[in-house]
Amino acid sequence: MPQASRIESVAETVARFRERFLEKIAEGAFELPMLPEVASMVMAATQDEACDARRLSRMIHRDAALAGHVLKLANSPLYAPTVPIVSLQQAVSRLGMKKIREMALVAACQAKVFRVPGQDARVHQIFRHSVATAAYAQEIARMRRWNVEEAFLCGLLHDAGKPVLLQLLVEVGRELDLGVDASLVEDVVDEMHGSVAGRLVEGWRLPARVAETIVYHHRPHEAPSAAQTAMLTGIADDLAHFALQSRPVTEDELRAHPLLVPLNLYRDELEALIARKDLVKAAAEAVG
Amino acid sequence: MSAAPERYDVVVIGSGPAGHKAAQQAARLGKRALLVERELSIGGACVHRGTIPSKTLREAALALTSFKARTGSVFELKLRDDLQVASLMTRMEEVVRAHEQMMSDQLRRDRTASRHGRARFVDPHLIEVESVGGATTRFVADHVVIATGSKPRTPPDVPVDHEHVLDSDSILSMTYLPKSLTVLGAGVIAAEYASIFAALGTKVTMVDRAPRPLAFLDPEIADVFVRAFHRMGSRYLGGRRHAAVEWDGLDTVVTKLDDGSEVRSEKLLCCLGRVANLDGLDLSNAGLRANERGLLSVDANCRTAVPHVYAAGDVIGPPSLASSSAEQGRRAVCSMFGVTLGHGSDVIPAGIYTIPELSQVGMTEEQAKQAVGGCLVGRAQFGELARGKIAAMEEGLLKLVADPGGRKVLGVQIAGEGAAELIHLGQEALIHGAEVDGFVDNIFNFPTLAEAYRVAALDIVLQRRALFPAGVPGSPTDAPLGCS
Repeated sequence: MPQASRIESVAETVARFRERFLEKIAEGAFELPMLPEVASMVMAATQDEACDARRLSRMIHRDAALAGHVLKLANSPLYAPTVPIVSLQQAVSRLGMKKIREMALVAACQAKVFRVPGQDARVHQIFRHSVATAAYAQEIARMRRWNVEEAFLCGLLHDAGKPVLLQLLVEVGRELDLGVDASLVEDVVDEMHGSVAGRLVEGWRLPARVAETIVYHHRPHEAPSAAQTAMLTGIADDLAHFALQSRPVTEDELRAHPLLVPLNLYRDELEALIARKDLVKAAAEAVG
Repeated sequence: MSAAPERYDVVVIGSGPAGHKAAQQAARLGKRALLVERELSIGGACVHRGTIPSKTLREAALALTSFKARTGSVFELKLRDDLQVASLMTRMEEVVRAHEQMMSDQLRRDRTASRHGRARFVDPHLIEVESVGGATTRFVADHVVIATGSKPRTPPDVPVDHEHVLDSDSILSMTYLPKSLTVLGAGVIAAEYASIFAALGTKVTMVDRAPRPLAFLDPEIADVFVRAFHRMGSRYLGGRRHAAVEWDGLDTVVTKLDDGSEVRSEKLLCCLGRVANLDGLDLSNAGLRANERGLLSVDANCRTAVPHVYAAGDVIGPPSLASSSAEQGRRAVCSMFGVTLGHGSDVIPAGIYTIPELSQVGMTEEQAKQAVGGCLVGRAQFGELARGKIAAMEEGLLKLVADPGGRKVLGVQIAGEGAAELIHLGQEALIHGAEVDGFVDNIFNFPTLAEAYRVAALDIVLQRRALFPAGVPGSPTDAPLGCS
């Protein structure tokens, strides 16, 4: 095949791939996939009668996908909670560990298991980053005396759109019988992960503020009513990248961060957050 | 070369009731004033974390409970299962914003300069303000008013994490109503939040070493609060202290008490006092230091040991009321510029926004016994008043304390809705040295709760007649009682 035709053909394939990928996003049938090792751990833990409730609670607090599934189930008609469950802590204390264990098991069995060839490292990084963001969001909320549980949840779920989109990518690849190359849709993932996660979370009966925060965490000033939590999650996101060095963010960049003023975070408070870097990193790496 | 620091007649640090009023008073005297506030918006804890937000939540709780009480069985009132704190606070942002706007407008109208940042003394007259980004600006101040307020005290053995174990700054950040709440402390803030959450259906347990809450109140009045609190399904555990507080890592805060018992709850609120916000001010650079109670010592005009530095509000200690703080701010500025001050009354009412509301002014029965050797006390139960019956306020009580001869009003204590408003009639009586008979001889609106004054006064008159059939020595002879 002549060079020009081959280039044209590749370009067409890429265009077709992107088109189908965008179509799938527009269809909006999102599912939050779970890491296979997390699913196995949950299954093992929930089938062990002696399973320590605290250990399971910690697992739920440390995995965005598991947390998301538990919250979705907790607010579903199946469990019909008497009050809407708005945080993981509330789910644990209101529903009791028997039900939480059951939900975790259901989630582990039903959730799509992540299989994105060649993307394993990236997927793990996304999950680690979510935990780090949640940890920082929690600390900032403590400093500002804002709701800690909600801040944690927003941090944990803020990038939930990324694994969803990567999973979608695999499905499109399978559908079109093409190999998966995430770089082809990198820009789409970057641009749309917030809105995809927002749409995903909307169906879980969480407070509207949570979905709005997730959608707007990269442009918090545009958030109609949740600018405060969106800003908090936005800066926690950057602090998490700094701690894990998953994206080059320097201390100087953090010191000049545009969200410091609207969040009223003074220099010493920021330094205290920066100093937590190793603790946050350790917590995130414990995820796997 | 950097520009010389800008000079102000007064630099006020902190924009709560004391600071705001001080800046306003300085501007009204034609002085150049600078108001420095570390938070993003002005108003202090009163507007953003204390008085205004908690009273907004209280109004919601009160509306629910009083509607239920007043409509009897006409409506079957049940709180929605999914009731969340946030939904009860929907008006809060609006109320806070309006209050903040009003304060900002006043400052603008008075052309008072303001600066967002944290202030510290470089020397007695030089104030440095650090912005959020770390930039610093210096100002020369002929006078300084320190009005930085206070923050909740966190005892080292109470692990406040603002998530499971909260304090009064973080309690209103909760997005859902806890099923159960332990409240450590028995002061005003503890009692207010305890009764608000109890009224909303949370099972509240108050724990304190004091045998009854609100120890500074007349015991009968405090008992009205306790009875109402218990009736809402909550309990007060007096004479006990927390020995350990721990979140179990799962779903419960466990509070071990020093009598060996334990209280388990979903959340805990620590209300064990407040401490003055003096950190970071570098007071020593101004030649000042906190006293043994961690407060700034001042004279009657709020002047500290350093003549050009004044302090007002919570940083100088009780009464730590928004009303008295504002007056202290005004008094400080008037004093620094030699403005003659009117004779400020020391008759200050205390209003406690529990459910039911409590208020008192002047001497309690016990204080009167100690101060003047005895007293006559008149009582009026709200349940005996037409208005009390109509409004289903069976629990209310007004106590009128008079001198041993039953003539002069010495104090008033009230429990019941509207107490904080009703008390002002008693306050005026005290300020003007009114006699008990004034409440009997004059006509009040009917039906009103203010009639309680008349009923209590009549009670005293009857006691007086029984005690002194020939009349109180040195006093006018009692006229026959008219129809009450």
